[in-house]
Amino acid sequence: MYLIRRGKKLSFLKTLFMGVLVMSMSQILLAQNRTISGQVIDDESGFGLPGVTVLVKGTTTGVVTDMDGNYAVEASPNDILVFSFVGFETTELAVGQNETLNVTLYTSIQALAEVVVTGYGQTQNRATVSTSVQTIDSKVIKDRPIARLEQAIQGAIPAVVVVKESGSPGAPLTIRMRGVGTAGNATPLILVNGVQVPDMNFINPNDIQGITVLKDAASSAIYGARGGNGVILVETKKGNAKKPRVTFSGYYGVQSLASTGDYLNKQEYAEYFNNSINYMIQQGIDRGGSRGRFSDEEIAALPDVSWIEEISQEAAISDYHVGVSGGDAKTQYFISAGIFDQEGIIGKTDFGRKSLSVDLKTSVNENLDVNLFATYSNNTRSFIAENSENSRLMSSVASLPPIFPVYDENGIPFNNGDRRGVVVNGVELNPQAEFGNPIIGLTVADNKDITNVLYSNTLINWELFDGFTFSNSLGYLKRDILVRNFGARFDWSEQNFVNEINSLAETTVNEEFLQWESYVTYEANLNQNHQLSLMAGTSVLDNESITKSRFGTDFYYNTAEEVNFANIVDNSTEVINNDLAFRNTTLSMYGRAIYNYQEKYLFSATVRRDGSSRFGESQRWGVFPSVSAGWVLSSEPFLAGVKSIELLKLRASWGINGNDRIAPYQYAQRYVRNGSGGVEEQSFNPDVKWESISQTNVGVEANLFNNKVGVTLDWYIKTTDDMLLDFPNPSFLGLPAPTRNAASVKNTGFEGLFLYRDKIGSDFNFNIGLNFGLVKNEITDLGGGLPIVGGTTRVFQGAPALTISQEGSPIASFYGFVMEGLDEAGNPVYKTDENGDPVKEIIGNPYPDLIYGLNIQTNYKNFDFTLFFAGSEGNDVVNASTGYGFAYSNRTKRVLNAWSLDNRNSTVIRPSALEAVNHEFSDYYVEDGSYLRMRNITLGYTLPESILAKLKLENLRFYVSGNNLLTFTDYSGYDPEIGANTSPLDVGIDRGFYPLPKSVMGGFQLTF
Amino acid sequence: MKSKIYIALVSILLIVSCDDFLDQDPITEPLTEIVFTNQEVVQRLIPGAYQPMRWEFVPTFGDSYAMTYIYSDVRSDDVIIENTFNQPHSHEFEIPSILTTTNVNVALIWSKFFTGIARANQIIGGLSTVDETVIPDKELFIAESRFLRAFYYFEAVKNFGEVPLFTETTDVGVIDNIKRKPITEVYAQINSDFRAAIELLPESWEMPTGTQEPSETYRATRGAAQGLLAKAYLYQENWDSAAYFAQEVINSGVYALEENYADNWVLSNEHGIESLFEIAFFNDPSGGSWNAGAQGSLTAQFFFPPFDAPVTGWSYNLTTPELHQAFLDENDLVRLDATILTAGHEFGSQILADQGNDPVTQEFIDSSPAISGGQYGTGFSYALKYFITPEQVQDETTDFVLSPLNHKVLRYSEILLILAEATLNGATGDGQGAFDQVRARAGLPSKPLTLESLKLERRLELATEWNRYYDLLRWGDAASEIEDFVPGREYLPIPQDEIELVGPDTDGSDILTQNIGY
Repeated sequence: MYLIRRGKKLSFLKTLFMGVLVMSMSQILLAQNRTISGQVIDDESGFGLPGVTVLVKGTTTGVVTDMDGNYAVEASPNDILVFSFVGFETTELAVGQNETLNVTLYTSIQALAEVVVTGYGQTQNRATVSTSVQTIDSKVIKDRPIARLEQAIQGAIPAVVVVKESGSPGAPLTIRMRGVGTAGNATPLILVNGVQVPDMNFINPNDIQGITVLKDAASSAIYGARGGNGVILVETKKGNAKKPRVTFSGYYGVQSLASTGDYLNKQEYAEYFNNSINYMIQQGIDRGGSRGRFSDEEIAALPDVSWIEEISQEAAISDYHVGVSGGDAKTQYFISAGIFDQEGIIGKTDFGRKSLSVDLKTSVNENLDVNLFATYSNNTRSFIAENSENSRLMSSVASLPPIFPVYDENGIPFNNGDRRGVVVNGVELNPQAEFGNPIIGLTVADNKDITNVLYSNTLINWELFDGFTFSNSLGYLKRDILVRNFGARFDWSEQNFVNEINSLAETTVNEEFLQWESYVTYEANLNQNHQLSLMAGTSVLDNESITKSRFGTDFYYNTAEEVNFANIVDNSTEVINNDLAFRNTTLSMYGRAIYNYQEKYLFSATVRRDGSSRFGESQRWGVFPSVSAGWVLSSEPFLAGVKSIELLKLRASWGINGNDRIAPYQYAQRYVRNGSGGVEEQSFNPDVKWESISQTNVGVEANLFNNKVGVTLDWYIKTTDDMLLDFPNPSFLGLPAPTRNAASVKNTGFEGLFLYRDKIGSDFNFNIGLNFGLVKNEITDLGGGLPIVGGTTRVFQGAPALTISQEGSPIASFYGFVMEGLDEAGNPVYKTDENGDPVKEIIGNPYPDLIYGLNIQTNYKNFDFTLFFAGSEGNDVVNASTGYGFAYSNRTKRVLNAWSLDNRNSTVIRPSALEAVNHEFSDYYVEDGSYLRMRNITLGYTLPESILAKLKLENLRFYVSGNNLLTFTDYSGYDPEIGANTSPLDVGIDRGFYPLPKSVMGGFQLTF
Repeated sequence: MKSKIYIALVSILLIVSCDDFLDQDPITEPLTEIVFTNQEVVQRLIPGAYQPMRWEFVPTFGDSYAMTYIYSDVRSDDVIIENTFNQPHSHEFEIPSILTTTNVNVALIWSKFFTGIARANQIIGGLSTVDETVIPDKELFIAESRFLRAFYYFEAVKNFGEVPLFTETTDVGVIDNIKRKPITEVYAQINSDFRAAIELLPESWEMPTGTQEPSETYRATRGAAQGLLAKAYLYQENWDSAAYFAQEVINSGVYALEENYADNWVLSNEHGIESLFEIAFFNDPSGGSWNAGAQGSLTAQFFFPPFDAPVTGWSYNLTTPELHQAFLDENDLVRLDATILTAGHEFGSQILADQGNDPVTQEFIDSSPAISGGQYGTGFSYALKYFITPEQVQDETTDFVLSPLNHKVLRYSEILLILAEATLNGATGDGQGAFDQVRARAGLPSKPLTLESLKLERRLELATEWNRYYDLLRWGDAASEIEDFVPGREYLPIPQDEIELVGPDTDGSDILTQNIGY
């Protein structure tokens, strides 16, 4: 287990063990036995494990292993030695006639892990934690190939929703913990080695030791104003006191399109089109300028194009990582480098990360430890416009009928949008101008994001006296982003595709984050009955950002690689946009007390006072308290006799967090330059203040049947008050909506984690983990404001906003007409009010009611096999990928069952391929987006010890692995797991996302 | 040992004591007190107050449009809005009976006027307490802002009727101030603002040396204020004042008629001799397109026929056969050729010639999908006053939807017609002479000035320039001339959201009342 190697933990743990040792001394002297000695090895590192308690079972006789894991203890042949260490599975060995007993300790399984990190140098024995905290350790991360750290959390922790914003390589992932608590930034706070970071993108997953997720207010309140959406603590790998050890791992794989969706092919499209004309003839509707029915000969002459397949390709993915760790008693190091490369399955998209990390820990003297961690990572990403209906790219892919060719006979992209008429193989087609040939967008636009991140953290722990440590941590993160958008000059005049002027836009963002934490911790173990841990400290955060952008047209060079602002033809056409800069500062004081009595009655309390420059002077400071309590029933005498219960714990917590992540300077009456070089007043609100998120949590934890079964259940109510909203102004104020603390949102949820692990025979063991999270979201108050609408699309008539956030309903619910059936002409009949006017209602919820994950890990001899499923239930999706409101657009296969005179019982609106009618947004277009996905399947083989020894290797494992190979869903689009937008008000609308690829990979892990 | 603890505690307390650390003023966004103590910065507020005039598409309320051509001529008998596109909320303007109070275009049109008013008021309010030694051009800035306020209020009163009247930024907190005011009261403010502007605005704005495009020529002049005031008085039927200010413009000698009528809409002749005020559009991609900051106009996209690339327009606004016939009946071929796209028209464009469309054929016009597939029958065509050639599109714009061609707000010929109309109603002045001048430039002979001939002259001279609907309203001819006219729905509805945002009065009734008829 990783935690023990962290410098700042050692002092506490050492104290604990020293105490145990001292208390045992008198007992040892009385023993009349021989000396047994040996070494305790860490399974993961293969090195000696210091600090392991070696106890003669049934006695208080025991010792602690030294720095190299060696021990010597007095015992008789009949004794059993118990080796225990936090984070490892306790192992028992009979002494027998041995004089030397070497033993390997295995890392214990994640949720049963015995120590949890709670931040600020404090750790707790899992059994004594009275808050809702969950951990993921590196074993889970390393055994399957993951591209980004967020994916390690995906499906592994109850009630944490991780959704990729798209399947495009390097696309950001959105994390939502315990429902959506705010209409603003709902992303959890992320800390790497105790330092707040803007995201986790820059971290190589191979460098991660473990992830801790703080979910309830009592665990996250120590992060005060920023912990309201939950907290994720990421710990990186550390070195250890042993000879250098090298790990080398890598995988290579191929990704491909997972699904082609339910869209019409040529034959089906022609049938639908012909049915539409038949209908119009029956109803006496003039078909206007459109062509007539397709004859069989015409259909045969037309191409049959699956646009999504045309623009997709197989793409490689690879990851290589090398790490060296080692050290001596004073100094330990871990150095690593990694290269990750992922090509995209659509167009020119890719993501690459090169990273270099160093972790160095040294003991300056007995009482002073210094730990430096630094990482540099270079991330490059090529991307395409997606989820934008104006891009004419991904939105065209689903909407474009299959009857247009991709290229003309000369190999030039075919122009299906020529309004003067389009002829294909002698067949005259209606021009489809709204949805252009996506090949154009894919070939002439080049978008690149280059991000360099330098991150470092220095932690100094100074143990002033036993149990009392003064720590200082200085974190620094510098992020430089360059985004380039190049639009090439091209001339396909044969198809009327001409762009005579190329253009280049460049945006740079330079950010710095500085964080200084200074705190003292005191571990007071008054006697065996009372354990007290106190912590108090202060924090300073300073965040600066400067954004600059410029735009120019007409460059000599015409490729993204060559073009730059030095070769603009006429530099007077270069436009330098306004710089945007801001600086946010935060000051905080915090404290926490953790106490338990006989590890039976557990208490903790925190308080934090935060001051943030984002608010005006009157609202600047906020106080965030929390308390929690737990009762370990299994330690009570009345349960002592129940053998099947190892642990049974009840816990409850309450606390208040904040959320301060709003745009800066909202409190100040200020002006900003607009596009025309003018200056405009900005909306402002001098009283803007923190969002306040209070959470009550009740939980049960149990370990049953010899620790074979683990159960964790949590109920919570999370209430956001003073939620920040862009509160619409009457227009006559002439200002955009200022942010006001107006609304309240309530999330109630129930979540659980079940673990079952066992052995069958001596060679087969398995480990099954099931987790789920149920959540119900409701806006309880909008502070008198109008409902907030969001999620506009143009594919429906009138381009309505699809979501509404109103009192009494979940945030961002779908809002539209309710279709009650079809009339005698096959047109929709909507629910009406007393005046006969159709009324809009809530018709869906884009957020899932239930998310769940299932992990199965098995080992048989040297083989290991894991299966990982994740699913989502009750989330609705609007398939807005086709142009319902536009004539001639392609459709999903549902229309093949459209109403007709011969099919009067159909519930599908009559065919209307030629008209833009009947396409008001209604529940007709809201689909069930539930899915169950086999996220990963991995089969691994580790070479047996005998061979490894011959090869002089410590460990060598090979594996094959597949991601997203199976998906069960009723959704009609390409992928039900459609991306989330950064705005929580625009969710579940499929405007043409880049679908998640499936992939097959082979990899290895080598240690020597 | 204790000393060590003290060291730790003291260093922690040191951090806490620096509260000043939290005072972070905006870096790139100047505060009000900085803005209004700096002439250069105040000068930059002015373009912001002009900007709402340019609002054409702003996605604030959804897919909403607020260009004048969406809500003015389409309500008259001269122009229709073509509806094969997915724009039912634009189409509603064509048929007032289906126009809803939640129409997103109406919300944006309202917002456009009142944003302009608010920005003008911000400048007036911000400068009111500042000394002229700090801002030397204080009075000029105020005068220009008052011009803009009057401009927007004139548009607001024409389209919404009674509206709330704000003359300072600070007085919106009082319920009584938010209530809609009688039209006469609104006009009184318009008159007063234009008069104040006349006092101080310059005759013309020169482009200061060394500055870059866009130049200052788009800014309001004394002539613009006089001319718009004359027009405002015409709408108020204050004939004497209308005639007086029209005469002032004429007497100033600054303006004259273009020799060639069509030259008014030539890209190289913006702010020409005939033009008193224009909504200026620039090919400036920095403001983007399809948003509130756009500097170019969507007219190319909306008005152009479906030529082959690079100018495949949307055929959005179409002139009616009735308008076409009105020109023919008057044998008014000069203005017809400049106003409506007719067979044989020459664009002077090699690109269109290569496509076989220059000169344009009747077949091309008739076979345009908007017309051949449209729902209105035949005889429709395109409004030529918003055309630039494909070559100009390519040379002058970076984006097809950033047409740099200005919209004419007021031309000298209208000043002459205002004088003529005022004299018909008893004001003094050479009405007949002014009337004949306009006709003569169009190559038409003199004819007696009567109310009937004046009405026709305005229709033909100002066709597709967004006057016809308001003219019909004030003449009382709307019901007889407009097929789908609904009495009571002369004005646009007050946006429902705005009514709800403002909320109820103490007695529970809406503070902002709805127009009768909705």
